[in-house]
Amino acid sequence: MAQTQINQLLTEPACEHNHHHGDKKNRTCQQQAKPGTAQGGCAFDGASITLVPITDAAHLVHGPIACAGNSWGSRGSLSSGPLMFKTGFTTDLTEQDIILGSEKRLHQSIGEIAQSYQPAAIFVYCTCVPALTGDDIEAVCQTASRKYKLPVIPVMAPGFVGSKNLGNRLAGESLLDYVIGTGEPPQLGTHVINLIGEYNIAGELWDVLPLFERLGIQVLAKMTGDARYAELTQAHHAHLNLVICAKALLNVARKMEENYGIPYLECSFYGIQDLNQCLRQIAQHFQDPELTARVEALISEETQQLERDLAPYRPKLQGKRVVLYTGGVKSWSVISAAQDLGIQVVATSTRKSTAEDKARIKELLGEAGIMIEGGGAQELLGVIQRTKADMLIAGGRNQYTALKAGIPFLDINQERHHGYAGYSGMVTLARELTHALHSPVWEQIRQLAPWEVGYE
Amino acid sequence: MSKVIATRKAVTVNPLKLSQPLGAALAFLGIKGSIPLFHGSQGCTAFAKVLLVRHFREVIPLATTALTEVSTILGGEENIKQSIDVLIAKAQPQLIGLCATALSETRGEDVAGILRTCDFPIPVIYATTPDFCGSLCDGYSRAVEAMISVIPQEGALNTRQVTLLMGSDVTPGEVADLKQLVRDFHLTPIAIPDLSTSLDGHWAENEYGVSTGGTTLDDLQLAGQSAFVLAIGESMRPAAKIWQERFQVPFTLFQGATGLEASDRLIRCLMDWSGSPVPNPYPWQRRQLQDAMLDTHFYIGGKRIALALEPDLLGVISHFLVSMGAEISVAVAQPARPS
Repeated sequence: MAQTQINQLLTEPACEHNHHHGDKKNRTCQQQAKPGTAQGGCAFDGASITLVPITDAAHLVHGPIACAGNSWGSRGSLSSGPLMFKTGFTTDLTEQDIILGSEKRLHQSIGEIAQSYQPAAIFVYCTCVPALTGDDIEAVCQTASRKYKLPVIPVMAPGFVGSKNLGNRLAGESLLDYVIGTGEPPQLGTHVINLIGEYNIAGELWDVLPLFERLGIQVLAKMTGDARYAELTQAHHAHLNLVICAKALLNVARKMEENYGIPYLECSFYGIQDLNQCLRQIAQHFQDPELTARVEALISEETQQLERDLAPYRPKLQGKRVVLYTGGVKSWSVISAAQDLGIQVVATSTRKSTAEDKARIKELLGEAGIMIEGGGAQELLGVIQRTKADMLIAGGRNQYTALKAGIPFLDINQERHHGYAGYSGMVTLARELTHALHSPVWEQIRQLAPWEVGYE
Repeated sequence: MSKVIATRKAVTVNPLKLSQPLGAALAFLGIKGSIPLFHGSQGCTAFAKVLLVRHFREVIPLATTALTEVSTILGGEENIKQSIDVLIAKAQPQLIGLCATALSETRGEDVAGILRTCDFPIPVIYATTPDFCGSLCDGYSRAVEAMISVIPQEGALNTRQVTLLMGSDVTPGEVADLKQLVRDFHLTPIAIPDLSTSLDGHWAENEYGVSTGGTTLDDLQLAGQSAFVLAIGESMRPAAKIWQERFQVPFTLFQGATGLEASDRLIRCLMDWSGSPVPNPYPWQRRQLQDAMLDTHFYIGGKRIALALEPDLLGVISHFLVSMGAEISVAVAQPARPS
């Protein structure tokens, strides 16, 4: 991995983080992990998040046991068919492999997978150790690909090159270099789109795909939630790319625009307003009056249905105060979903947000809203106390921070078990929020112990 | 007659193996006010942290030295020093458990040498735990060995004090039971490490950044005065030997404390040490165990069972199942660490 290539990805021109040169400290994609902290995942983690959801491919981690052993099987992407991606493959490098070189073991491993499992493709993830010893992984993949007659794709995102975000982009580069543009689709409709950056967490894609079907929009390639390898090879035939809720794969969208002339839109599937807007943007892009009419009909029908479904939850959620602690676009897209439910977001994190995200947040939160710039568990709990919030909505790693402090919690990140996208996702969100806020355990655990109560 | 088969496949499928640094972190988490620190890239820490958080459903303090491509090649000395300074300033730990990873060991970082040149206000214990050999069980015992080689202090022997060296397969609940058992014999236990007060799942507010329970540093120092050493788990043998050498106190090692025979031997040992008769409620519990064995031997007897576990736990569970009449048809384990 050449440093120039990494620098290009870190200064992705389509990413707004790189548009405001005065605001240097806000470029999270360029931030290095700081010694003495516990920061998020590495580049390999990011690459896995992006590619492992490809359901009919085998994912082989070339490295010592920690990389695969401590992580396989923990991701929340679901499949509607093949389960190949759920199997954890690793070369589990030993001391001898490292001293003598591990290219041979890698080649044999690819062979064993190809022959025993017949996957649609094999993704080979380079980790820190073989990157350091200098294994020529690209050459091994090329040789194995010829020998076993199936695509073997090197993913050059060893953990030590940077953050999870960079890993997402490096995985995107692998798709651009080796996958997209290598296949031909059977039949194309009049409105064909790809979804980029949607990983079908907890199956939430399935709350959205039926909407596209009803609108007569064909979803060609999903990158990469519930994807089959073949659809990714055909992605270059789409008419429009939708970048969902993530800046991480903007390099894929921009390069597909350059290479294949496919324009892209950035949008969110969370919240009624944002989803409506997303569908209207698509209709506007295609300039098809019939599509516009179908979109408006769908929005009005779904909104009415949603009002009925949300009615029982509204009184229980109305006026509740929440603190939101999450990254990037989600910092505003989830605010809008919460506000659709009558919930007041009193503070949100902006540590990964762009200037545009922040402007949007300010608009949504109003003057009293607090923007949390950084900090760990302690600062977060301080904000919750000051704002007298009823609840924390954040990623799983803050779950026990909240619970230990006696604060109701909802998981919003990729490990969660519920899908919140689309119209039906809003009902799930309302239900889960209600359960979390109104669980009978809160009252019980806050009771004083018998020996803490004075005798009268 | 059992046959040992080493795998000949190049690829590992659905690995049941956990890495050495993860085991070392677990051992360090059994010391009160400690933070395990992985000398590796940020992902080494992130993956281990997520796994431990999910398993124990607790806040897990775990930090990284954040090696990058450049610092790996040029050497991570600055990263180590900076990490320790940051942790001391931010979280006021009592102890930092520094664990090697495959990355730092592939480079061949001389961490012990680096630490010798530093003067930190708290103990920084280094465990050599590369991911490319051994597994959780080995990393855990290496961390225990590293701790007891340095921290326990010599002193006049306390004839009522017992050091319990707890292997990686002893659960927080079992540590609590064993400590209670020792106390019931009017002896004072010091468990090393003590997961029963750190990862047992208790609701405590306002504690961040360091392990909320475990062996206190004072007790860890005091443990050197124990007249008795009880080690649970075969992987604790090297640690027990270090102890014997340092303090000239003989040790008793049990591979496990599961099953009638093992429990009997343990009780016998404590009777000898304490000079006390067996306290309540153990005779009654023994009757309950005898009854449970009789009631269930129909179901377990003759069953052919496959096991896949860390080496220590594999030994304990297979002994117990065989003692109940089961047959272990296949047992999968990691190869023992090279000594």
